[in-house]
Amino acid sequence: MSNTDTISTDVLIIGGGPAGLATSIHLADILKESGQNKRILLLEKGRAIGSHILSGAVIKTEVFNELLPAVDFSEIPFSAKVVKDRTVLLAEKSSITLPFHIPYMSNKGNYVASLGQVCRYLAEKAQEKGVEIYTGFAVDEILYKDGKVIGAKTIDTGIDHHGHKLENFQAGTRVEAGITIFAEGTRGSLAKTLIKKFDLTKGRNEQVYSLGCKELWTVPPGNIQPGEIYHTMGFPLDNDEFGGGFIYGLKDNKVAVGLVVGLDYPDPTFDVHDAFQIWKTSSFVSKFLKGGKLSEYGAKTLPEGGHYAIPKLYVDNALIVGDSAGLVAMPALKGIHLAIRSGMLAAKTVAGALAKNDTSEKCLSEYEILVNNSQIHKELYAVRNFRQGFSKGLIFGGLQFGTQLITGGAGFFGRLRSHPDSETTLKLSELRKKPFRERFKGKFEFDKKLTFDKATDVYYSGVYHDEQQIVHLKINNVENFAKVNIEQYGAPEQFFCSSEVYELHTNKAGQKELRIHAENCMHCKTCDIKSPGVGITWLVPNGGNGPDFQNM
Amino acid sequence: MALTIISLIKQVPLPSEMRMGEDGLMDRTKAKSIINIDCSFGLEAGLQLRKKYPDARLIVCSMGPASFETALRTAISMGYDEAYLLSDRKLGGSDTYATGLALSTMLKHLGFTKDSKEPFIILAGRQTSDGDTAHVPSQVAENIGIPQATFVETVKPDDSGNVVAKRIIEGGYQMLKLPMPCVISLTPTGIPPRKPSLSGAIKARSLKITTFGIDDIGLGTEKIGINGSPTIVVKVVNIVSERPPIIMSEGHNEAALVDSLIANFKKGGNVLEKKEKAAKKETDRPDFPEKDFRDGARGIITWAEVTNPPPPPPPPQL
Repeated sequence: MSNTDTISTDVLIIGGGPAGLATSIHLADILKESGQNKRILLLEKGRAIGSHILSGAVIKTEVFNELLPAVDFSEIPFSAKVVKDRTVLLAEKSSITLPFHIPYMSNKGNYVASLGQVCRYLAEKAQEKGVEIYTGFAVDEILYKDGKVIGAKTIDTGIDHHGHKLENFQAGTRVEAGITIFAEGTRGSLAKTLIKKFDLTKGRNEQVYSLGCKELWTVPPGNIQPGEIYHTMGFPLDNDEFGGGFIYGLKDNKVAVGLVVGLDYPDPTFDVHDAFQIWKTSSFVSKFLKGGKLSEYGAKTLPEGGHYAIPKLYVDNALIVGDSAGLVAMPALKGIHLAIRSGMLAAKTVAGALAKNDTSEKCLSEYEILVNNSQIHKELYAVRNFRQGFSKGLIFGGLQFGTQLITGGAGFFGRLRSHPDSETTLKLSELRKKPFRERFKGKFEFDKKLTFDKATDVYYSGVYHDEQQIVHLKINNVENFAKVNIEQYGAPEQFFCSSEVYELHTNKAGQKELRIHAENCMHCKTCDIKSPGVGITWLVPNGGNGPDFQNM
Repeated sequence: MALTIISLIKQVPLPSEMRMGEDGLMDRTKAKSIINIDCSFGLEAGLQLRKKYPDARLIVCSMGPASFETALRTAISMGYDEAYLLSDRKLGGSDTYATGLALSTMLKHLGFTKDSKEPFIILAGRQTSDGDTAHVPSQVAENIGIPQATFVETVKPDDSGNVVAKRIIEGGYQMLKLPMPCVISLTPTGIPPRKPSLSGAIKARSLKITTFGIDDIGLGTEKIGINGSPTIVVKVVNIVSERPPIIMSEGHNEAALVDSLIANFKKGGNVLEKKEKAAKKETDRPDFPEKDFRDGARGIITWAEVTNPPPPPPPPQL
């Protein structure tokens, strides 16, 4: 029984988000057209499609017509067309609505939606087209042969905390695939190892990320109209904290609110979740939530590095698509339409490769050419220096952005470099401003009506993890971690984690140590990104574990 | 000698989403469904037995609407080989007696009888979260006429073709040795169910589940369904506690939790609860005279009201 089962497929897609689903749908369509009969297998680690999907979301929808040409557009479950789109400069008790849109941020013609619902719909379409989708299966290993990707293996289950086999041990399944598509979303745990193994970021910028915390509320009728959207800047963020809030009116009296903050902030005590709660107390935001009830909470990171941070997207027998490839357009923070487009271009490449029976790197390089000739490149290239410009603060960033607009994205300095988010945090002793906890002293008493502590919010994510498994958050070097992360940085993990996974605990010997409550994990991967000195590695837990988002 | 391991499972609504319909029957249409927890321990017990009998054929059976196929496919993805579903509108509203009869009729139809030459073991969950009766496994055993062990935590085969069951009893365990064929019902305290494997899930996707109607297995309508069931639901009462919920302890870490518990403890007990207890004590008295036969000895009083006393045992003859 412990013998590993092996199955084989022509195409293996890892991840059931917009990128992976679009790849599968478009590939099934092309293969059908060209009369090829190939097996497409899609694996998703969430309990169901949509369980791990979180986005604002305001979606640019044109690409859906290309992906699903035979489908009536109204059939796709978008919530509402954007009817009112405002950018607001926020202070605690006042707000100024900007009389213009920030360039690249207009949402005219876009739709608000629950991306989870959209993905569930896409999954239905994919299954109709013959794609085999299996949910609740985590893939934790890439299979190589002669240094080339030949598939992947699902995680072994029935293992205790120390890695010993239990009586109900179930070996993972080896999936051997002609082509493997990595569509794991932001900071994909396998894509990360693939990128490292083949040095795919060589000569490119470091990827940088933002963390977004989001809540979905049901509010009394009249609080907000479906399709009414607001983006906020300012409160409660400082000049050196890049980000902003969003308020999206959805149908059925639902409203999505969230705060997205760049993870290159310097304050080791900064806490995006708590900043989000404080943001909600501003008079401008709280009026939309008045009398309402929280129905869901979640968090996710998003890659913001843009054009210069995109890794090489192909190796022998494998491609990277969507967020795993870093395809998000700034400053609008839009990646869904790019994910779908990259999936379609990957599909086109894969179909060609399968027809020629050649899945070599050389043949798959067509994918990058297609991407570079597509709308993806056009959108990302125009803002190629946007995010890096803001790494020195909002004022400097704003000036840079101005020059970039005039020069078509280049700015005065040409290509701007970026630093990984794990290097931007300051030590406690280096911080020259009031730490976050003191800045908003007295505002951390959450009332559980408008504002919620992390533990309560986590409850609203439906998160679950199997008790018996290896803790999926690994401190890379415990000794060093205690000396550096805890002593010098004050364990920023306890603050930046969106779901209270990390707790600073003093043991009986008086030593400080980090306690890991892995069962809370929202799979946002902030710890993998932000921990100073790359202190923590996020490993994939058992399939079906993690949050269970319904309409995020 | 090929052993067959048969698991009886039931798909139940998630306990947190369970709703009773107006008619006092379970409303299964809305809630998300899972394999009943106890049954999933039964499934795992079967997979454990296969370690000793690698050639064993593992089949999983259920009775219920077509939607129960989901649970059967999950069992396949865990490692089972075949699945059978007994599904017929005429079975709707069956109580445990009718269910036990229907399931055992299907098993007999599949060739699993008291006299079958090939050995088999029937595993089932102790009870279901939506019915909570723990009747069905025993009724299946009685209908087929084979031995049974209930409340079993683990099952191990011995080397002479028997199974050794570790049965939970008050204050300990009872080790039972059962010959095959037999029925064993499992508690949710043994080896937890394994996760499905991908290869299993792929197999489950295309596997044909054999579905029987009552005509297929030669079962009449007189003893099944809502009309054939001896149980009559007279009234359903939604019991609402008059006592508001209280917070016994709260806090973000163990120190705060313990402090809060001690503080609440010192603050004094729940007065309402004490009153309720006192009231209960008074009403709990039976309405016939009580006599304590313990003569001052300590122990638990148990009594039975005997309406037709059996004749006293004859005096011992020398």
